[in-house]
Amino acid sequence: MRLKIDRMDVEVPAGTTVKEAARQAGIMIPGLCDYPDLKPYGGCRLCLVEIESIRGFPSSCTMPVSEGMVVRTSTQALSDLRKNILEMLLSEHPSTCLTCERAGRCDEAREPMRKVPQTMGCRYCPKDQRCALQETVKLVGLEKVELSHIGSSRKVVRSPFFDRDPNLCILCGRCVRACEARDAKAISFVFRGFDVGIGTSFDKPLEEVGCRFCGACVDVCPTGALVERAGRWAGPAENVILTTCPYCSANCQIGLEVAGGKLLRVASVGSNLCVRGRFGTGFVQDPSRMKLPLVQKNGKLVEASWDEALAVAAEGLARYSGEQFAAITSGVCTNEALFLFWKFAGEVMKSNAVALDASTIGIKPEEIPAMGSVLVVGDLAKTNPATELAMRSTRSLAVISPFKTNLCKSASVWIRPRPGYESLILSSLTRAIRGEDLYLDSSGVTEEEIRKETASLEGVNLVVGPDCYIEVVKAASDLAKAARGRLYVLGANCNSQGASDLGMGHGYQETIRAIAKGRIRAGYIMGSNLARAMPELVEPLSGLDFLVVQDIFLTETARLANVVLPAASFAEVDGTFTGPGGERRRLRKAVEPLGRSKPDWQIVAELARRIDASGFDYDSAEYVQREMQTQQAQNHAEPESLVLEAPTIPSEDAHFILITGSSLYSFGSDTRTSKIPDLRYLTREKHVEMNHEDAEGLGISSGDRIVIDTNKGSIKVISKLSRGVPRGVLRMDLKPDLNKITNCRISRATVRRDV
Amino acid sequence: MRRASDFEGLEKIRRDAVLAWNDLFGGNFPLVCTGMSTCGISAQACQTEDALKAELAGRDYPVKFMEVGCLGLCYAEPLVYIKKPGLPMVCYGFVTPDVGPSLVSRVIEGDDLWKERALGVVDLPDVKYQGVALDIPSIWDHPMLKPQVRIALRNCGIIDPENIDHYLARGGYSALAKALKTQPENVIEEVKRSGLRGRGGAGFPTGMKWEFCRKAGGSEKYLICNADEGDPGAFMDRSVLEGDPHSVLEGMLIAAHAMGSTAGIIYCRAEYPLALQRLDMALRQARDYGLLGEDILGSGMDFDIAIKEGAGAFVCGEETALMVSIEGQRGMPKTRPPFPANAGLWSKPTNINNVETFANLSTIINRGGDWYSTIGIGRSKGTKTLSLAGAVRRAGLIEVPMGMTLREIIFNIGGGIPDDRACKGVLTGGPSGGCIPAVHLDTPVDYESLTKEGSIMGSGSMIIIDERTCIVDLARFFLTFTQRESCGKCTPCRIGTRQMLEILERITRGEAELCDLATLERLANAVKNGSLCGLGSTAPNPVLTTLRFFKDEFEEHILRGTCSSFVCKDLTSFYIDPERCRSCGICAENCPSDAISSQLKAEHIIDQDKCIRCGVCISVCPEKFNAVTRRSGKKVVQCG
Repeated sequence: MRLKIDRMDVEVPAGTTVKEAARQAGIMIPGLCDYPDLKPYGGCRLCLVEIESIRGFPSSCTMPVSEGMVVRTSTQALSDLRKNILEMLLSEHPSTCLTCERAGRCDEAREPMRKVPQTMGCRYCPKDQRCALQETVKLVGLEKVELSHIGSSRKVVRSPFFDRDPNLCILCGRCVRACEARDAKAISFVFRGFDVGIGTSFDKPLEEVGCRFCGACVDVCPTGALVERAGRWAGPAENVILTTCPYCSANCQIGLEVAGGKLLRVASVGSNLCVRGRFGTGFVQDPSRMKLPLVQKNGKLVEASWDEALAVAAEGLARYSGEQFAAITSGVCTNEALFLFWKFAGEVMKSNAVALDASTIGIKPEEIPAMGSVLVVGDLAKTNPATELAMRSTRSLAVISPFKTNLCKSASVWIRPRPGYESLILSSLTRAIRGEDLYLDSSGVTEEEIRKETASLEGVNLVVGPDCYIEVVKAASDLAKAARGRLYVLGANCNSQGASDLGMGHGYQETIRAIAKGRIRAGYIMGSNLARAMPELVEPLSGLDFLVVQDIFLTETARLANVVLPAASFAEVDGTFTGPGGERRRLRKAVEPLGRSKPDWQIVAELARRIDASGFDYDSAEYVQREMQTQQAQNHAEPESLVLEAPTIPSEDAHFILITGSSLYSFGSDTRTSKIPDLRYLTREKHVEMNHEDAEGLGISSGDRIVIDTNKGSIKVISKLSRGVPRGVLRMDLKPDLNKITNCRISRATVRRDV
Repeated sequence: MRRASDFEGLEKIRRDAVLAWNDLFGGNFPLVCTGMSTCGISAQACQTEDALKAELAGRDYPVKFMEVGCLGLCYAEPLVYIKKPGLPMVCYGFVTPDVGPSLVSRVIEGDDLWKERALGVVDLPDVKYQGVALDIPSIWDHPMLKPQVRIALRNCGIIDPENIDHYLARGGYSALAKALKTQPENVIEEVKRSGLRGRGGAGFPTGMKWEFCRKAGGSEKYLICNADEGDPGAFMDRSVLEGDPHSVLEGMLIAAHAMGSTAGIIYCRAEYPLALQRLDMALRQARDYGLLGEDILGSGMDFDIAIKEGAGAFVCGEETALMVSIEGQRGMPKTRPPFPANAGLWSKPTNINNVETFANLSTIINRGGDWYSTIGIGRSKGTKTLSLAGAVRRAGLIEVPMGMTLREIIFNIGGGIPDDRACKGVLTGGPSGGCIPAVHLDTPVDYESLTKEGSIMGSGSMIIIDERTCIVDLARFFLTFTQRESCGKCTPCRIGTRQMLEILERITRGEAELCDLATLERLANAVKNGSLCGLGSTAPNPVLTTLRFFKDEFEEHILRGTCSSFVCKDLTSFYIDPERCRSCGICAENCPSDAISSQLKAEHIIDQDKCIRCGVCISVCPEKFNAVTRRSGKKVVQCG
């Protein structure tokens, strides 16, 4: 489309807004409510323009261009109007610094200013120099605010990770629209007239209204109204290092903001981050990070030098090899680390390296919207949030889930089996495609529902989450073949794909069993908190003759070791993960390794050299990468060798099925997420979700103290009534201490009030 | 239940209805009609009707009771019409419950016409009377009714709004039948020729609006009737919905046929429970007769209407906010484009019209657009309903041809100002409108003329003010309303109105300076030009027009600290004139804040610090003394 803006000829595609067209032509029209990828709003009224043959002053951020349009962006009338409107905004916003005669010369007063509990001007505000309102004042050229300051002093609302200061809010609505775009819809405009503000239903805390703390609202807020508490007063970052999130297999790109050699905050750099990537990387700087190697002396772990620790470790491991030795790692580590670990296990210890989460077929979130039809099994919102969000843009979405998740609401088909019957549903779909009989029995799903879907399954993309047990994966694999579709099995960790490519999924179950049965004598565990994930292994692991553990924290597993080697975290190394689709996702070093910790790959190489191995001389990660590329070890694991064991549903007659599922706030063995204070806050109470009717029948209301009994034991929990839970089912987030009552994802339980 | 499956079926039903309608008036029993709209009910019409029924219980002759809507003479409610066999129907006014027994004995049972209470003979041209002429003029010659041209209100106050047969008997749904036999494009042409413009206030040509919606493609199209009527002081739509709901339904059906709409919604404010009730009833009756639903009258058109209640937000009268509210979201207006005709409710082509717009349609179709366009002046064709209120002798609901002047309305129809006070001005368009001063009373009431004076037609509320109204306080009152109703989406409306209000409040407290007027005007223009929707862009109108025509009152408040209407409490004080006071002590007894010191035979003095300016002392001071006066300016300090 061709149009004229301020006498300039501009050509843009149809559908572009006038404001965006102007921006492309180099004309900056002020505006505070507009934001890329958010629905146009037209509420701040700063972007008004004059358009020939259109009455009044339309907002350029909502007006689509049309052929031959003539736009003027800077007439006298517009300039006056913008100044007036901006002045109105500032009359409600602490703006003393903008018009103060000492502005810019108040350095000596700055320090005490920060300790004032209320933001009274720019210099008191944590977003000083990072604020879109400040920029707009400059752009519009407003010099004084003559209107009276009519404000009410509203309370600052403290939530996990960030604060909302309503006195700084300019009601641009960006946060509301961002929350809508993330399908959480936790906040909205409330009240009207002068009392209007942004809030939650009935002023409830964010965690009670569906907020998942993805931080999208904080990212888009133009002022200091929404500010995360981490690095609050650090000001703008010196540098933003682009790297990959170390949690799930969506591999979102994140920006680590650094200044003075320290990590300040995470910038979302266009990704749809979840709470873990956005707010959960502070573990890097947690005081409990290991800074020095530890060696066991007289039954206690004492600090030692690298020289000593490596010597003890090398001497200890050199005595074992082959079937007596176990090398265990996980997809948390970089490719470089995994590769060398695999090489070490193979060449030095004549054994295999294994990883729990190493059987994956990844799916790129960016490619999901283009997929025709998608069938999802697994609670992706908890395991791979970015992937789950991308599912909403597919043409046709089907979900198999016993629980009513947010994704179910966006799906065109929702099959709701009873918990534990997901694999039966998948195999029934396969049988239906082949025209065979179905045996659906007590699955909770009818034959009609299954047969209805057969036509639309042709070429389907089947996505199985990492929380699904092996039966589901096998059944999904069969279905994908029968429907001539594709199967994706999401990895649990950021580099599960890398571990999978190295074939580390093979033999994992045997290794664990061997440990449990005492057939292993020595072990080397890197980046895996096995003792916490499987407490039944604590005893066998303590009984090993020699154990070396390499990690960033002194974990439960590390405490059982003879030698503990401190590793550098993801933010302190250069390296790669293997993303879905096989591409390399870069990790870039943002800060120096804490204390004396070293990158995993470097430790493995040094250990190997100490055991006198050759072929482990690497100067840097690049060298490792080059060797990896020439090796091209590609081993896609077959489904038989992975993931969780099939559940055993005990046969006692207990009233409820207890499902322990993945948690958004506590990832994996919770080693890293437990270091984040606000994540601990969000998981401070053990909640069990139960159905409203079930609760009513037992006389239980939300928030009651109840006891869950299984054949293994009892625990005390708090009840939480949920509309997503089917009858006869209880759901809890999986946490390691649940092993008191169960070590399966599905078990039977009874519930009673705690009196 | 009889259902008309084709045009002939409808005519059959109509023929029976006409017979029944005539029987109502030609029977040998007395017919007693009571005006039972909200105006009447709040004047105790229910109690009046009960009293009449109680009085007539146990008589050995049948008496038929009927409830009708609002005739528009609201000042005289409760209205009772009495039709005795052989005599014309006579309308009586001010029939409060205590008057009931006398009405029965004198008029119904006796032969007394009670002329003093009679407002006029209600002669209906479509009914065959046998009635002798009476020495009472026709009610249609009543000064309040004579100048009116009642099209939208044609049935109000005459039929029972809860009886669809009455509507049918007076020609109802004949326009629908005619329209259904006409090509939709030709129906639109007819409406265009009539010059009908949106009666909700925006005044957009209705035919053109329909054409946009018709041209928008798609198989789902919505038709919405805006019955939110949020203007304080406006009750035109309410009267139509309560008095003649079928006129709105018929209009919607005609519109649906013209545009190809597939579903209709009436968005009616929840503060109108009687209207909602009667609409619901009317919808059911229409469905029973086959006038709503599938294959209406065999034409192939499917159309039905649902009611959505408002939830107390003025801003939801704005069309985009209204649509979003129907979708279940917060009522915040949206920018345009996209226009509702292309993407409105549920993103489908939607057309919204006001109640009164719909109520005009059947007459336009029956009598032709050309005929309709002969009424009115310039580009404002047809009639407009107006709610006449305030300092006027005859307050009520009227419908006049466009172009009638304010003076004619106030003095001919309205009967002038009570106590022969001078008219100060007229407020048109409610809180979105302006105040037209008395010097401009010859302004014609039409879209263009009112806009030229800085006001708007709006929904048609017309409030007359005299010298007892303080203009500054009036502007403050309207701005308080719009500020409170602002949804908060856009900066100028949310903050600008609040800033303007703050200045006005200071002016009424005598705490302002002249430069505040400049700020006020600057803000008003910014709000007017910068706001996203009509609420914000018209909110400054009361301020801008009052500043334009009554600047002296503003300056008086600011410079002299006085309020010559004695309204602004901080600038008014009450003073007991010692030369007139006879020390009777009545004022002191009644003062709610114990502000009057009084000893029998000693001077009565008002303590200015305690006085709350409620005015009780003025009203209780015996008329022969009249010792309490209002003063403006600095408070009078009286010493004992």
